[in-house]
Amino acid sequence: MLIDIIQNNYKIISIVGMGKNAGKTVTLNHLIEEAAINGITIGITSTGRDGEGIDLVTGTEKPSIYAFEGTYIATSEKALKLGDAKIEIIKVTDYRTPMGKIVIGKVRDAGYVQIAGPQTTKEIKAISNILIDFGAEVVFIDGAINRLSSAAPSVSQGCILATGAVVSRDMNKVIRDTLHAVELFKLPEVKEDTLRILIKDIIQKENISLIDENYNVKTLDIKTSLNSGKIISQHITKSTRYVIFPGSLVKNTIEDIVKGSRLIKNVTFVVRDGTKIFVGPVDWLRLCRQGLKVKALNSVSTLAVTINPYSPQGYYFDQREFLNSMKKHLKDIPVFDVVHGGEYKDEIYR
Amino acid sequence: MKFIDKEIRKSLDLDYILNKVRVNTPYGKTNKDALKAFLPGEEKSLRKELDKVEAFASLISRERSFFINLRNLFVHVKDLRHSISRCIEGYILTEVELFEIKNLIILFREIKDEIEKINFSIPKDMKVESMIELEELLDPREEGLKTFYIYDEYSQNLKDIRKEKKDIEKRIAFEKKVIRMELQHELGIKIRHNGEVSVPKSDIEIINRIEKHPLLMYSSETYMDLKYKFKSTDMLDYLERQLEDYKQREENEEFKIRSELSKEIAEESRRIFNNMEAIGRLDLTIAKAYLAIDIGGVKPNITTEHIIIINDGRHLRVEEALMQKRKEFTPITVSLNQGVTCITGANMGGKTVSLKLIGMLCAMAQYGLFVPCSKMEMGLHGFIHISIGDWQSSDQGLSTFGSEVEGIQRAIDRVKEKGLILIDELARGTNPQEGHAISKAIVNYLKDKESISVITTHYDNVANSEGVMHLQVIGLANVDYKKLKEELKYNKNYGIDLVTQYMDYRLRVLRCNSEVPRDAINVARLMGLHKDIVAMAEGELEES
Repeated sequence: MLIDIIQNNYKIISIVGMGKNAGKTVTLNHLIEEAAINGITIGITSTGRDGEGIDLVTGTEKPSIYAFEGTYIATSEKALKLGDAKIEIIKVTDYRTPMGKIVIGKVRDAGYVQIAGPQTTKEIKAISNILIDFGAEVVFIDGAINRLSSAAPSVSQGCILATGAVVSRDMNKVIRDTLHAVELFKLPEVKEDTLRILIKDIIQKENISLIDENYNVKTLDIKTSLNSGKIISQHITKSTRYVIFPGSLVKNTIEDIVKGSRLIKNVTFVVRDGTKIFVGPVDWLRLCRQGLKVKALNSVSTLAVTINPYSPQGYYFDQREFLNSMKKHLKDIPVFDVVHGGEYKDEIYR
Repeated sequence: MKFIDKEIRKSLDLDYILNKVRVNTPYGKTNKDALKAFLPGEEKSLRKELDKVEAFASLISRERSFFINLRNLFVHVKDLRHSISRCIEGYILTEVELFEIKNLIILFREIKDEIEKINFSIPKDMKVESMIELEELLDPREEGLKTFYIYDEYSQNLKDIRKEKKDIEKRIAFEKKVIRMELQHELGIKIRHNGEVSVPKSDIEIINRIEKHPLLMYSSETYMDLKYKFKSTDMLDYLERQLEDYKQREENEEFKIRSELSKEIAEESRRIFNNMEAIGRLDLTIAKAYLAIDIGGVKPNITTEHIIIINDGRHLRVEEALMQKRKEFTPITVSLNQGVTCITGANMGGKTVSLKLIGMLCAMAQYGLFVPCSKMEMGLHGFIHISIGDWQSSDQGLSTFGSEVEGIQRAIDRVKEKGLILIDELARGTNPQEGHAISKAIVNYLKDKESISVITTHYDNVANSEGVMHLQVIGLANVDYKKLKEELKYNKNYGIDLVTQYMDYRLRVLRCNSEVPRDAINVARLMGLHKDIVAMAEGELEES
C-alpha cells in the first residue's frame, strides 16, 4: 500500500501534481483512506489557494477531500463552513489568508472538508508542526495549486508526485517529463553549514547573489528578471564559486550565463529546491553535459509517483502499459495507479 | 478645541513616545489610540491616573514574574467586540466565533486568578470578573479544554439525532460490505471500497457475468475498460434517504443550539464588554508603567497654579540619538511662570532642543505619562503650540514665515486658555530689523497674558524687555579656553566636535542685562579667525 512507504518513516508529506487533473486529489483521498484503515492519525492542510479562493467563497467548487473521524485539519475560516464533516475547533491561529484565519480542527464526524491552508513556506511549516503537536502522526500537505512550484515540497520531508495523461498526449513525453521532475527534485543539497547560512539569508532577501571562495557575498541589484543572465555572467570572476537564485531559474538565464562566461566550470548554481527550475529535460541534459552544476538548499525526495491514465480532454493511455513503462523508468520509486484502486499489481481487478 | 494638533504632535515627537507605550491586547490598543490629554479643571483625575501608573510601576519592580505571566495571557486576548455586538443584534454566532468567545471567557478567569495571586488592590475600573456561568455554558462536558464543538450535551434531541445518524451510517457500511463480499465471492473479482470495479473489455467472460448480475450496473467506459458500480438496493436507498434526513435534522438542531447560545451570550454582553474595557485599561496602565521605568521617569506633580518646573529634564529622542554616539544628554532645568520667558545663547547651544523638551515633558504629563527628569511640577495647559522653523528647509523666505505667523496667531487667539506657547527664533528668515520688531512686539503682547510663552531669540534686547524672564544657554562661558585651545592644536580636524563637547547646554537665569554672551566670538577665535578681526568685533560689542 502507498501508506506503507510513509508510515513510521516520514512526518510531513506533500502531494503535488504535474498539472490539473493529474490525480492529486484522488491520490490524497487514497492516502487518507489507507491511513484510516491502518489506524494512523493524520493531519491535513494545503498550500495557499490564491485565485482559487474566489470559487471557494461562492461555493462553486465542491469540497472533495473526505476526512475520517479523528483527523486533524488546518483550513481557513470560510473554507471550514463549506464541508459537511463535523469539526471540533481546537485552535484559531493568527495566520491570515484571504479566506480568513487558519483554524485547526479535529474531525468529530466524518465527511467532506474544504482545505485552504496558509500561503507562505514559513506558515505551512508552522501549521504542520501545530498539527503534529496536537497528535497527527503524519501530515499531508495538499499542494493546492496544481503546479509543482508551490511551497509544499521544500517544507515536507518527502513528496508524492501525481502525474498522468493530462501532461501530454504522448505517453513517452509524460514519462520523460515525470522523470525530469523527479530528477530536479533530488538535486544534491548544499551541505556545508557556513554556506547554507549564507544561502538562506540570500534567499530570504530575494536578491540574486554571488559567493566567492572566501565566502564573500556580492549582491546583484536584479530581481529575478528574464534578462538577468548577461548581468550575472559579467560579475562571475575566477574566484566566484556559487551563484544563488532566490527565485526561479529559467532556461534563458542559464544559456546567457553559459554563453557569457568561460568560468562557469568552477561555479555552482543554487536554488531553493528543484521546483524552482524551469528548463525542459532535453535542454537540461545538454546544459549538464556542458558543465552546468546546480545544487539546491533543500533536496526533495519523491516517495512515490501516482499515475492517472485518463485526461479530461478525453484521451487516455492503456492503463497497464502506462503503469509498467513508468515503473520501468522510475526504477526505485514505487508507482501506483490510484485511479484503478492503487494496487501495485498488474492484475488489479482479479 | 484641540489640546494639540497634528503638526505640533510631530514637532514634540509625541508619536515617538507613544510608540514606546507597548500594549498587548486589542482593547489596550483602542484605549491607547483614544488617549486624550487631561485639560485644566481635570487635575484631580490626572493625579488619580498618575497614581495608578505609580502603583503599577512600583509593583513591576516587586512582582516581575506576575507581569510576565499576565503578558502571556494578554497576548492571547482577541478582539471579539464585533462578534459580541452582532450577537446583540440577533446575529447567530458561528462555531469559530463560539470557540473564540469560549477562549476569551476562560482568559477572563485566568487573568482574574493571576491578579488574585499577588497582594495588590487593583483599581476598580481594571477589575476583571470571571464568568463561570458562560464558561460552563460553553463547556457542557466540564472538560476544561480550550476547544469547542456543538456538543451532544446541548440537547437530548441532538444526541438522539447523532446516535441515529451513526447507526444508519453503520448499517449502510454493513449492507455495502455484505453485498461487496457476496459479489466478490460470486464473481471472483475485486471490488473497490467505493463500490466500483473496472474490467478490461477483453475479459468477455467476466463482463458477461457482470452484465447479468442484478446488483452491478454499467457506470462508464474507456477504450480498454468498462467500469461498473453497485446498483443500490431498496434497502440501501432507504437508508441513504434516511441518512440525508438525519443530516438535515442535525444541521437544524445545531443551528437552534447556536442561536440559543448566541442569545445567552448576548444577555451577558454588558459584562463581557466591561471585562474587555477593564483589560484595556489595565493593559494601557501597565504599558505606561513600563515606559516610566524604561525612561527613568518620575511622576509629575500636578499643581492648580499655572507654572512649569522641570529639574534635569531630558529630551528622549535626542538622548537616544546621543546614546548611539556614546554621548550623554545634558539635563535641562527650568522654572517658568505665566508670561514670557526668553531663551538666548549661541548657535549650537541647544535652544531648540530645550524648547522641544519643555513641550514634550508637558505633553507627556498631560497624557498621564511619567516624565524623564528628576522632578517636575506643572499646572495643566489648555493647549500647547510650538513653532519651529525648519532650518534644513532651503526656502526660509516669507512663505515659511507666513505659516509660522499663521500658527502663532492661532495660539494667540486662545491665549486666555492657559496655553503653553513655544516659539523658536521667530522671523529668522526675514531681515533683522523687521524680525527684531515683530519679535519684540509679540513678546510684549504675550508677557501679561494667561499663557506660558517661551521664545528663543538671537536678539538680546528682546529678551531684556521689562517683565520678561531671560534664560541663557551657559554655552562656553565656563570653559577653560587655554585648555581647549591646547586640545584644538592636536585635534585640528575635529574642531567643531570638540567645541560641542565643551558646550554647556544648561540654562541660567539672567537677572539683569549685564552680560552679553561672547560664545560666537570665542568660537571664532578658537577656530582660528584672524585676531585683528576678533578684536574689532569685541570693540564693536563694547560700543553698543
